[in-house]
Amino acid sequence: MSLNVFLQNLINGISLGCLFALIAIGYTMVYGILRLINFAHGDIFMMATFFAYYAIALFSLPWGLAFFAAIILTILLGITVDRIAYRPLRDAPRISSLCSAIGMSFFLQNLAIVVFGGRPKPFFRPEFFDQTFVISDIRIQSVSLITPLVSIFFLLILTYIIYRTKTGLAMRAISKDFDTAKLMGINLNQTIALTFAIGSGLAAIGAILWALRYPQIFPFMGMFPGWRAFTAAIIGGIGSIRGAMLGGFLIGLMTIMIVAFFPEQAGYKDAFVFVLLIFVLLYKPEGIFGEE
Amino acid sequence: MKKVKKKEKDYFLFFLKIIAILIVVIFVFIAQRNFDAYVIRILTLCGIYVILGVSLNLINGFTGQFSLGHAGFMSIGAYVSALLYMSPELKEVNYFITPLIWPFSVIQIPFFISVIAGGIIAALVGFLVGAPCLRLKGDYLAIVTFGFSEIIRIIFNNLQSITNGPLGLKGLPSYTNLWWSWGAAIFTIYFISNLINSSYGRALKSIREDEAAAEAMGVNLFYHKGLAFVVGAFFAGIGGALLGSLIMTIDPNTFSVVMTFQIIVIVIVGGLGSITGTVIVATIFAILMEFLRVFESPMNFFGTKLPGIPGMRMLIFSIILMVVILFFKRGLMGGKEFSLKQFIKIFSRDNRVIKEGS
Amino acid sequence: MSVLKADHLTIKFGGLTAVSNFCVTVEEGELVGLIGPNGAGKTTTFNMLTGVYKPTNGKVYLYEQDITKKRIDQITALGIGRTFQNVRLFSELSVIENVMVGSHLRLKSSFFQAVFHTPRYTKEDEQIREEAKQLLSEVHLDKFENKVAGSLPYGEQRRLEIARALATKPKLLLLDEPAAGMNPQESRDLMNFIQKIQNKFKLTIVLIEHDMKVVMGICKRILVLDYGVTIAEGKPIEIQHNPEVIKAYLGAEANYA
Repeated sequence: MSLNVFLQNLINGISLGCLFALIAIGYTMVYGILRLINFAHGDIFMMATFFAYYAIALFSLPWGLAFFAAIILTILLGITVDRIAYRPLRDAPRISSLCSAIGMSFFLQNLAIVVFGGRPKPFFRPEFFDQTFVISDIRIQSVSLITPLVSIFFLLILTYIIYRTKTGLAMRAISKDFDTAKLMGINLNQTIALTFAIGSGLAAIGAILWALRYPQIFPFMGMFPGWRAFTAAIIGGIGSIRGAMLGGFLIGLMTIMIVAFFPEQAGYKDAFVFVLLIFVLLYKPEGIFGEE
Repeated sequence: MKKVKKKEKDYFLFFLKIIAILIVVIFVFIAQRNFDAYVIRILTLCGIYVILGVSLNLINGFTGQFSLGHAGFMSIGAYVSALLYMSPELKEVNYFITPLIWPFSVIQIPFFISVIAGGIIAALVGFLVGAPCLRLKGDYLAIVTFGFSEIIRIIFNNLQSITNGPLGLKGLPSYTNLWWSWGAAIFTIYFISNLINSSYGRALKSIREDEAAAEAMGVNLFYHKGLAFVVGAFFAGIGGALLGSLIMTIDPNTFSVVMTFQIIVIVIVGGLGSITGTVIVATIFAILMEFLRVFESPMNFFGTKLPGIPGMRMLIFSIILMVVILFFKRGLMGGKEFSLKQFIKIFSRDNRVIKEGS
Repeated sequence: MSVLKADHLTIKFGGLTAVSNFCVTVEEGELVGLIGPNGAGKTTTFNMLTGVYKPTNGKVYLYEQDITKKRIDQITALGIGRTFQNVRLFSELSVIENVMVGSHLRLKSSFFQAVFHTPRYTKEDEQIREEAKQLLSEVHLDKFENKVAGSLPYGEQRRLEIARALATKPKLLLLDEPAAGMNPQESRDLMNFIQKIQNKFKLTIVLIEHDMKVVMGICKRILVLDYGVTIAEGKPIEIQHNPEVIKAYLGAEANYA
């Protein structure tokens, strides 16, 4: 493998890693606060691409506006999922919320099949994202360059919100101690809804970038990105935002490099992700940045 | 005096159980002769769902270890048995791209034995999967079992010289009939309900209730959780093997997470920790799955042609699942059983003679 | 031969030493009290004796057999039964099932004998049920036999927990604050009850108590823990007048006189 090809893969891996980081944050924030694995997160991701698709195909909005509308809709969807499926079970045993999350994921997938149809749809790719740069033999699609820039921009905003605002402080307080935070007068439901909003919003941004990169959308498309992102969140240490970012990069690079270096084993790349997930859970369940 | 009554009651219960089984046998006998192939197929499917639901309930409901790996065990049962009961000629036809490796390419054994073999290999994998994971709890265990089930699916997709990869196995001989499926279902119910009502069952339930206390009472957590996984995986393997021969075409993606979801729906709606609930819901589920097909095929509605809506069935099931989770938190039976004992209670004047468990 | 011997048990969580150099030797038939203010490390000590925590240093011997590295269930099988500070019953199982779980470790029938309800198993199960019933009548819970354990009143739950521990056929019984949450009259009754079952089942008992007065009457020997350190050991009367103990208790709780 020449240096050029390696660099090309590296850029690809970083850009994919950014996407995983964006999705992983949704998992990690919700888990940090509710101790709940939001199984439906991957499906919220999927819904975002369909929102964007229909905003363009049906309402023929310009792409910028369509993407913005899709992000807003996804945020609303995330908040609705919490309101319907998780909030009524806040005091129920954890197994109930787990069932509810699984049920919600199942529901969203089937809803998408019924409403949008099961067949894959081609995602519209604006010209802006469709250019290919050639820098001394390295061919890079503009999406691969735009993705990290957009991701890093939003991740910085997120870090600001979490560590520099009052809302962020409330979130961190709840994730440290649910009951005490409640006693301290933090509005739990509002803060949790906001968490879902942020998680879903970032997932929507990730989803649109994902669809620009792999322009085919279908109801089950959320599953594998979802699981890889979840693995990223676990590796980084679930509950930790830095961890989710780092884990996302690692997983992105890993999947790209497996395909690049061991093309004949490429079919197993998701198996590798799952093996990694299982190993981390068994031997270092707190991840890189997590607490015991 | 009391002893005599108790003996009498035991015999009476035994007698009732025999009658219940006889009714099923007679029903199957009549059904096999008189019903058309379509109805028989649905009823056969009912039996298979009962096997799958009851075995998953052992792990998730009675032992309280939330597993999402059932589809993986099923696919092992289906593939192992198919590799054993398919004729060498059929294998040659199926494996036209990558030939099947020896010795699978030449062996063929009777259906019954191959189904058992499917169950045993699934149980073995159940143990290998279970052993490292059993110290994980709750949602982490759910993820890991799901991960294993996906790993099995991915491996089966790639292991062409054994599984024929994504092409799957087609034209499997259809051995599974009402007798096989309900025979296996009755055995599953018998085995697992007996297990639940034995000292081992009490140990499993104690793990569900409070792991630390169970351990302090001398229950070996690793052994008992492993036991639940192995037994559950065994019957999942049997169910998968029977399903394979019923639908006659299997590929690795038949046994995706959607399959596990379906079984989870049955177990949760029926009630975690209720065998009768599972049996009832499994039967309703199989029938409803067919009944709801009308939504998915085009239909005439007062002269206007309405197109079918694919995916409608599963959407309806996911809505039912959500309603049950949110409003009937304990499922249909709420961990309780509809039992012959209660049945006697209703018909006996002296209610105090027959007390639960006495 | 001593029933229990703890040899310089020390446990550290992170940098914090929760219990240091805990030593005790308990002889057959003794009833030893382990007291100390809240957070003194009493329950942690119990958890080390029963295998829940592995001590950082030191060893535990049961009948001179080293059990430090054994699993919790193995230790129970060797003869240490216990109750928990905050009652931990199998709340959705019936009262009698709770007790019968305790007999599971002594089950002789194999798994398949149990599943197929062979005559041998059925007989054994009957026997277990009979024994459980006897235990329940011993703790005056026989009339609740088929009730769901979680529905019992608090005091009954405490007694059921003791019955459940007895079902494991322990030689040594560890009771973790059995009188917690009881009024003085109930506590006195409970202590009499404990003495009664000790004689009846020929038990050796170590019990944790937070309130010193409760154990004065029945324990012949008392150990006092404070901040993980054993500050005193001796007869109740000696403990009562030990200045260190008084200081520990007065420091923690002003109501002790």
